[in-house]
Amino acid sequence: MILLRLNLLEARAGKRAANFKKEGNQMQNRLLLQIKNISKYFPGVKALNNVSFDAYTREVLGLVGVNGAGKSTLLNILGGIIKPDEGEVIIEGHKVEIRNPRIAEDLGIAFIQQEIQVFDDLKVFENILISDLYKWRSTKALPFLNINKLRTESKKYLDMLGCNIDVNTRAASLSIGEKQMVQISRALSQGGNILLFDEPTSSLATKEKQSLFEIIKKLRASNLVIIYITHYLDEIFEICDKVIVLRDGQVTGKENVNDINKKNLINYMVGHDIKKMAGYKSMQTGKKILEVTNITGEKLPKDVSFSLRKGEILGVWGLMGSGRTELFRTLLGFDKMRKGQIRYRENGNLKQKKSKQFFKNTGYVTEERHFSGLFLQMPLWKNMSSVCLKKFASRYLRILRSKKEKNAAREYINKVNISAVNEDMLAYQLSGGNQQKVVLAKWFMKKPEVLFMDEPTKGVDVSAKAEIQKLIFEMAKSGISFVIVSSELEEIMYLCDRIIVLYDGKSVSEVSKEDFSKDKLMSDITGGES
Amino acid sequence: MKKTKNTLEIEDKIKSMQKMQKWQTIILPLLIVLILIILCIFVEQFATFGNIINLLVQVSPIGIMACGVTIVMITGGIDISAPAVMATAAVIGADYIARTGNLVFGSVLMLLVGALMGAINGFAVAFLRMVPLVVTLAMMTINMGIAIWWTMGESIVGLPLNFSLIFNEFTIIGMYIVVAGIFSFILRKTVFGRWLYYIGNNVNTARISGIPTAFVIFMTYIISGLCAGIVGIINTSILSSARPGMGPETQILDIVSAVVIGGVSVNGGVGTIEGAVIGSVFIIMINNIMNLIGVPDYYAGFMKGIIIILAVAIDTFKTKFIRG
Amino acid sequence: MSVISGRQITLEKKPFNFSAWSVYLVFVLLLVVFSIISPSFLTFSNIYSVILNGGPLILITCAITYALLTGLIDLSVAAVGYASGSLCGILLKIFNAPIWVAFLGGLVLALVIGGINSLLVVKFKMNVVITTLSMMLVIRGLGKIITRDQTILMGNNIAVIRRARIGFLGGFPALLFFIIAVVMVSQLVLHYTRFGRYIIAVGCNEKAAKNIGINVSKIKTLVLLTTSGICGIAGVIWVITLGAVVTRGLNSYEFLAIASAVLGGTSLFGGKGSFFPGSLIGVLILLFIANGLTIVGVSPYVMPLIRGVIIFIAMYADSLRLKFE
Repeated sequence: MILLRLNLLEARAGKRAANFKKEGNQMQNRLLLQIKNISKYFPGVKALNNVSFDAYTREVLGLVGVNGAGKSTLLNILGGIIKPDEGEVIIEGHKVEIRNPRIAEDLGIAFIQQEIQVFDDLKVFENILISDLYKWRSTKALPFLNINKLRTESKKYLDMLGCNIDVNTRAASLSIGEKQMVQISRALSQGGNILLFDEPTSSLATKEKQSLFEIIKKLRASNLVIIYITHYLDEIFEICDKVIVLRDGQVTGKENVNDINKKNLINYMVGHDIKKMAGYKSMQTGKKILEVTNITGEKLPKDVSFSLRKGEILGVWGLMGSGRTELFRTLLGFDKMRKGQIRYRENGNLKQKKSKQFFKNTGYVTEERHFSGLFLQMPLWKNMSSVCLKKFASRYLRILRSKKEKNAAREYINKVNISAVNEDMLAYQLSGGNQQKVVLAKWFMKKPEVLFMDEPTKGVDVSAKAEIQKLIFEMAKSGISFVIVSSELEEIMYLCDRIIVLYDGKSVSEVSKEDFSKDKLMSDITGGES
Repeated sequence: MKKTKNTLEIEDKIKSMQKMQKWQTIILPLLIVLILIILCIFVEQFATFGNIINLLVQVSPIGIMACGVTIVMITGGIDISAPAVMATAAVIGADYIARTGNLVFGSVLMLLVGALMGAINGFAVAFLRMVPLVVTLAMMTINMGIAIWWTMGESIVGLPLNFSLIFNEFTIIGMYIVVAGIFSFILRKTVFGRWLYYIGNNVNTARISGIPTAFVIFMTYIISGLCAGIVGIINTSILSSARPGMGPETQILDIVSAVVIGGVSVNGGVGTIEGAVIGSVFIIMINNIMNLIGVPDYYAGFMKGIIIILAVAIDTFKTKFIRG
Repeated sequence: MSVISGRQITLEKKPFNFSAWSVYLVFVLLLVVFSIISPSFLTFSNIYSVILNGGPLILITCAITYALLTGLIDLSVAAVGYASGSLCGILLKIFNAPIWVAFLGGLVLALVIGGINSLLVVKFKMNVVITTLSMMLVIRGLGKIITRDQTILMGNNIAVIRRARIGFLGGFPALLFFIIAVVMVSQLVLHYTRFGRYIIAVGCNEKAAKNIGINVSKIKTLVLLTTSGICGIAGVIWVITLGAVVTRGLNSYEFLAIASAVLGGTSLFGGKGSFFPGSLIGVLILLFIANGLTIVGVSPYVMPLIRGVIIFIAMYADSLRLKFE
């Protein structure tokens, strides 16, 4: 293993300068990276299941799949952040074990993460060469760095990318796109020849996206492997040569980009068979109880309008970054609303309301229950009564009746079928599915008229998922309206009466149950017809 | 719901863990009672009525400020400005009393000053979203300056005698009991009190749950300031004077020590007034005992420091043990 | 959940660099104003005595700057100085040790304390603020235990002391140069060594630093050791300069040091700041304000207030600056 690392380091040391020269005898694609039968388990879920593919130099390999398909898990394995349970990674014909990010770096793997990993308080040249600073000492004896050499060396990599940022600027004053350039330069300076891009364009403006694509094309011309992950199917067709599709942790498609079209891609991503929508039929949904117009937040959403009837289940469908969570947050008053109107039916008529007032009649199940859904260190009964505490308090002095709380908690534990020993259990002690049920139970306790849910079955095992979906149907039957965000096409088509599709913060279409089709929904999600 | 053998095992484990947690909260009080008993036996002067009363009178100022600080810390914040604010409030109020002889309004003034300082802290933390340590550190520095400047370094004396007469030992201890009792009730039984725990546990969840987090946090600092004001009144009456040196740094160290030993977590979400009371008694007890035995007081600082480190270490390991 | 959270995306490019320049401006303004008001301000002897007496504070501020840059804080700094000074004093007076032994004794004690700090904070991951606050109690107690809480005068070793104060180099005390040297070397280390760059990286974005492969624990440990070590030196110098170990010595210096660092542009949140000019200017501002006000004849009771106001404004400015960046 050590020998391999030395070999690779030597080889790369020599190759680094040569990487960007178009050498005649290196025009061939070379098999650099092989993924063989990789599997990874998380409690209750098989994130990756027997994934295999090959990556060649001089081509951009796209990796697509819906949320939770396993893309991030795969990248994290390559980046040394987690270890696979089965399978092997083979680089240049040798099996490697990527135990931590440092080793990944030594092997030439550069993980350009979605979250910008640039140090604002350091200068550009320091950011680029940060992993190798020791190399640039003035004399080997003293630990002092040769700043000039650092500057020129870092500039080399920026030049390779055709980027003209001044290496002396503090990283804090760079735009997101420029910070990305710095990250890519860093990857190159580490001798990276396997570049992993994780959703690089989600925070970029159009012009910066184009610059990025230019750079990727340049990088492709040298002898690097580039793996590019994205949600935006158009980008696959723009810069990728091959594409791998993941679904539910498995590889469902391996194609040359030229041989397929968007529709094929969608089929690979979502599958041909959609389970028949059994059971629930949109029954007597009552009058319109909510009308929301021109909702515009700070950046997202942009001018979204929709209406909701009593007992209706409305789905909000869109990619990450399309503004779904922002829509909820803006609507319910957690983010600033720049423009827009909320009209809510109270005592018979639709009246205009402010977000805070509207929130009194609603519930909000957030996407990350650990972050904003639960009080992990507190017992279940305290969690459950947290959103409607006043119901358990005496009228004047606001004295709490804990007995009442505990009773209510017990009642809802049964109603929602949470498997817990008793109501005194602490929230962190429960499994994911049960924790999510606690979140639901607490909002049900509030008896809201509209329940907003952001990914209600995220990170939940299969049986709990089915139970939660059943609960949603039951509650809808009893007159509660739902607005649900989900990234699972099957789930949203199963649960909802109507779906609105968001793209880039705007509402692009609205589809009723009769017209549900995965093709339409998948194509709408990426902005329109393929 | 059918329960398999496996599920039953897990249920038992969890039930026993819950029992263990209930035990944990009793350990510290038991320990203290134990120490008390040992002391009564071994250290002669300790068990005298006079000494105990003296002890409790010393505990009261620290204890009341500790109550205020506990309220703040449960929400995840901290207030190190309490003694300094107390000194300022005492000095300004005493000055007024000395000049006008109006006891009542002078005392009210002390409370107002405390509340004002608390409000500034609260505003900065809750609405400007600044870091509590920094904000209260700045407040501490500026209050030390204000107190010195206001009095030009001199003590304010010449206060009407009834002032000290009203506040004899029993009144003072009584005030502490009342304050601690009220705060304990608030924390355990009111909506506001429960909100504090929610916010300390997870401020994001609290916000989403509809709790007015900014307002609540704002109020906690005002409460702490008020406590400082109350202690200003008490201390002024004990000394029959007020001087800027009334709130030295050793006091905030004592307060934080008391609170942490009493089980309040620095990260928020955990803690009780009862714990703070026990911690306060404990801290002052160490001083008292060292005094009685004849140990110089710098050993007290040494011991206190080590005890807090142990308490924090235990708290840290407990959290890690739970998570991992 | 969107990648674009409310706070993250700002396409603005230039942060407001007002804070850095304003500090130097204030300092110069200070010197100008005071020298106008009183002619005896800008004299050589005055300035020199201010800096010499402020030596310990300068070093302690320098020490705490290391911790702040990494995103930590160390409230035990003054106590470490006091304890080291006490040990040094005792060694000199009671044991008649040669000066280098006393110096070493103080330094070793400081490093041991730094080691304990890193053990608690880095290895056991205890809360920095409370832990170093408690260590302050413990160590100050230790210092007092060493001296039996009495002031110790270095009568016998006055010759050694005098020599150290006046030193060689034609009337300039070697100590003063030493102090300035420590600050300058720290600045060089910060900007021109890998260690220094890693300190900033960790203070700026600890998670990213870990991902890059930087050994964050090692950096934090080294930083805490350095902080305590420099405080040890500060303590020894304090004792030597003063010629005595005073029981309430270096009281509240930790808060003064923090205030000085913040005044000098070091952020309490890590990543931003410098030793020179930054923290040094911060200390000098505080020292010269105190000095200037005394010379001008302002009542000594106004001084803490003015100092308090300045610190108050500086800390608020630092916090707000972070919000708006």
